[in-house]
Amino acid sequence: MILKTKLFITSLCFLFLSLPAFAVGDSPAGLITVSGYIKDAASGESLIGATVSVKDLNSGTSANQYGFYSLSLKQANYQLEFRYLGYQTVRKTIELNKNITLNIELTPEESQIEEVVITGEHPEANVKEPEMSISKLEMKTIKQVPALMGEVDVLKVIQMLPGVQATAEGTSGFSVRGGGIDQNLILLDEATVYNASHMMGFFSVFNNDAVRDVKLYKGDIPANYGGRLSSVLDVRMKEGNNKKFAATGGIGLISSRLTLEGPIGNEKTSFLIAGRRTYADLFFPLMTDSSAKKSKLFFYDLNLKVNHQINERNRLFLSVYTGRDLFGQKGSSDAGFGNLTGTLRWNHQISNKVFSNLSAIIAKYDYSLKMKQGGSNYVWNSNMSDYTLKLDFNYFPNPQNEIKYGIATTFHDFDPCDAYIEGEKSKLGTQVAKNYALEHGLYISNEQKIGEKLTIKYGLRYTIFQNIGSATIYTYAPGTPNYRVIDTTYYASGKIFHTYHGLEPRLGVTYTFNEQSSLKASISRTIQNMQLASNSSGGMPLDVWFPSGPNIKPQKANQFAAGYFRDFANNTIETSIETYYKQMYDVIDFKDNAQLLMNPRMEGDIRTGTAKAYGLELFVKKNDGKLNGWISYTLSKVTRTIAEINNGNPYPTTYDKPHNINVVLNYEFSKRVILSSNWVYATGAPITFPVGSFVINNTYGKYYSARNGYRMRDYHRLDLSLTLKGKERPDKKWQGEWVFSMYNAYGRHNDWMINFVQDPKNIEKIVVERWYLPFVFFPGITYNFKF
Amino acid sequence: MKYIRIHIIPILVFTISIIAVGCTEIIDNISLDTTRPRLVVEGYISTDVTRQMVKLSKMGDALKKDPIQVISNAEVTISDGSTTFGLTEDQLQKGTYYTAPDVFGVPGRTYTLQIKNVDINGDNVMEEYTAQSLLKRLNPIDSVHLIYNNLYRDTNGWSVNLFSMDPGQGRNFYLIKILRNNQLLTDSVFKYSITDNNGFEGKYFDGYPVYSLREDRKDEKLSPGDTVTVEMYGITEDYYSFISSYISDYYPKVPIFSGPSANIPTNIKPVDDAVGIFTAYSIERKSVIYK
Repeated sequence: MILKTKLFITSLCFLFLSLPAFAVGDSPAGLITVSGYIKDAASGESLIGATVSVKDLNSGTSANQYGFYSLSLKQANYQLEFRYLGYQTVRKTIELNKNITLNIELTPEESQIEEVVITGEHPEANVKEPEMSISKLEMKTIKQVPALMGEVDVLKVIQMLPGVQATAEGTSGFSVRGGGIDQNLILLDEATVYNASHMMGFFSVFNNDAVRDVKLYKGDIPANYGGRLSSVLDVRMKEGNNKKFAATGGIGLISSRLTLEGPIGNEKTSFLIAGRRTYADLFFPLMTDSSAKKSKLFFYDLNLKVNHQINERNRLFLSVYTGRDLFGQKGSSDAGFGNLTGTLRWNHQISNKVFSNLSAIIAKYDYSLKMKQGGSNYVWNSNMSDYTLKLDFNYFPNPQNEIKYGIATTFHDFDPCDAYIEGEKSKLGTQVAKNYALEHGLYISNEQKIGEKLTIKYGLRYTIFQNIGSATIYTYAPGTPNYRVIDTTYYASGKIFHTYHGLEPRLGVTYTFNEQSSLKASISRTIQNMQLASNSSGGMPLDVWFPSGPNIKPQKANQFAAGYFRDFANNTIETSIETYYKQMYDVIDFKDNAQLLMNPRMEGDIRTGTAKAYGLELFVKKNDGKLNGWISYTLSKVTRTIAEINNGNPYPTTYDKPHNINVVLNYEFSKRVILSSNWVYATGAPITFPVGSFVINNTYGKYYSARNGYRMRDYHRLDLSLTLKGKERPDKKWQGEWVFSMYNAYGRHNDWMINFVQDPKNIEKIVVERWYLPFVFFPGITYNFKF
Repeated sequence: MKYIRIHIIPILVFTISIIAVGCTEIIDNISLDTTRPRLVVEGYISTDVTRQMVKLSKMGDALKKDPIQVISNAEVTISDGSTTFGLTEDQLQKGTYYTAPDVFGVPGRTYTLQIKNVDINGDNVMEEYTAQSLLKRLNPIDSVHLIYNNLYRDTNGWSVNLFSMDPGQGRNFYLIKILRNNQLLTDSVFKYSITDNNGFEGKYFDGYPVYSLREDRKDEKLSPGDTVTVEMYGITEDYYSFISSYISDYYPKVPIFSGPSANIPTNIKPVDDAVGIFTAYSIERKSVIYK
């Protein structure tokens, strides 16, 4: 069996690697290619997804993730239009009689002199692009949304999009169309970020000044992505300004950040370095509480990117991210956790029609805790690492087809828990055995235009997941109360002892009625082999990831979505209505009172079953004008059915919030004064309440109703911010702005948790406590600058 | 090694609570469903020669508005397969049933609790409840050391370190109780200290810290001449899960850290009609005089 699988994989790899040769050789007769890169004129950054349209032909293409485009047309003269939201359109007339390279630079609208009225040419990408269930966010938009303590956060803005629910206030965890927090693939320059939160989720790992592009796929996930059921959040770092040295930064109440970027030598090489650190802990010594005085609580982030253009056809990128949270109390505890990611990419243009990218990626997450108890130092470490090689091709044979294919292999290395007493490691210790896995993915997809109105996107992804030794695998007896271990098997180092494989078809159809409206539908299957041991609603830094294997099957999902997209008012107002139905299989939950940490037999606490999610999403977005922003409404339902949880009856998940409204509005009083607001409303989250009580040995015990049988009060909150920009003058390099913000502006005490507690002094007394976050009328002030 | 897990999480929560400190308010008007009444059982049989005890009561409403209703006149027996011990209700403490004073459990035997002549659901049909527990073996405590040092932060005190041999033969579970001058300090479930032998199966507990006596607590501060007694209980996995779930249910839930609220497991059958625990255990004691 293993030999057969190996042979199969080898032949598939061979087939894939021979495709470029086929592609280069196959040039349909009579077609000539115009290709190149589309970039920002001010910074030299690639413009991902910028469109190229051929006037009179009603045909075109869009730039890939590196800003590369390729169009093959018959010999003739054409007028090409290059467009990107927020940039001035560029028109070029070309005489196409031989293959040509045409690199285009687009000028941002905001750098136009104020007297020029923007004529309002907006791409109708929302309508015409053959992709649905996707949200693209511009950094400008993200930065305008009012934020807690003025710390603008990509993940908090993501939570305001239709189909996305925040799992609990303040956390970075989010649920997409009923999926779990473990079902989101978060990528930073292609590297997986396993824990995207800082300070328990009040902040995310993304430093906005270093981020260029954010895309969230909620469904219709392209075949080049795999590994998670519900969503892909693809975050791309800036490449670094290759025109001039520039600095961006901000000083806030609790953190400051600084980004430096610029060319190295000439325009061929550029760099970006960005740092951020919080300093809330600097105020701790001023506090009266003695334990607070000794506390340490801060995080930092560091982003680094270097890119070098070797020649017209070859380009190298190196990006690195590292960030860490450090907290503890002097003489008592010391803890840290953080991510490290690194991506080395080589863009190679094989021909005018074939673009390739080879990536070598490393992604790590680890935590370490040390605490003093009873005079001994307890140490607890956990870490995981991914090493990935990935090869992707884009082939543009003609304007009607765009083919993507590629292959990726990842080696996963898990060290879930190594706990011991310092200096006495040999004596006492808890170790959850290390384990390893290989994950391979192969994909091919095509985006095909049929006639002028219909575009079909079809793709297939093949995933192979292999557990490799050394490993200790327990065999459990299902049905026994605690899934008792009945056998233990040891596997030697390097031995592949278990393999899962599966096909993930993806299909999307777009029918464009006219420039303003279209109908889209998609169906996709996704498979997830990496699982998160977390049963809290927010996700905590101590959560560990573990692979599918002999005991745990991969999660699978089938999603169907359909939507109608319509633009109004010269495309300045985008609207959409989408509906989805998602059925998930082998989803993971945990038995009552599960022990997920420091438990070598943790897999015995896992229970699996099915989940069903469906919903309707309405979205209206106004891109420009003095008043801009969006309104979204989501109506949704998600339930899980798992044999040994809730007596096998369906139960709502903690992020099942049927009604969800988000209103994000910005009003520009003038170029220098902008008022921004957002209002969030969601049905109260499901919660389990007691329906009975008893006392054993002086301690109050609770008897609970059905899982998540109650709901907390509905959640709503208004945030405001006012941005005051300094005067811009051509002779003045320094540009500054003040941002004043108010989180929870009408001071609602939203339920964060409801607890039933025994009064320690009077056992006969039970009190019901509402816990809410202290962020009530919470002000923030930030000064941002660039020069 | 559960010791770390049980103690480190509250410390983490504490650290985090610096961010989210002090924001609670009491909810007075919560509306909760009620559920059908169930039998509450608390029963033990130990290796001590003593009056073994079983307490019976009825589950109350979630907010404990009404006083606990004890269950009287039940027929209660504990059997080891060959001998059956009858329990009689204490006339001063209604709902509490005792064996004769000379009863003790034997390691390796499985004990069965039987409760008859109770009608919890009020349908005038008498119900029957049963539970089983193995009495696990335990090795003696060789010695107990008291080590004075800085416990954590500003708090000084005595670490109670234990020396004993784990019996091995698979997973073992322990409950530790501490007495100072014969006064029980761990008098409630939430004060219990529990551990398993994960990582040291069949090995020696070579000065394993099982409890910290804090100098700043009046009942824990030691003076020369004080006697500290460690009671080590060899318990079943059922009882261990019961205590660990009970403790985690006792503390408030925090969205970031806590899993969903869930019922504390019970070994009383039928499980849908009862809560609580019946358990057998071995006890070993060792005292040390603080000089």
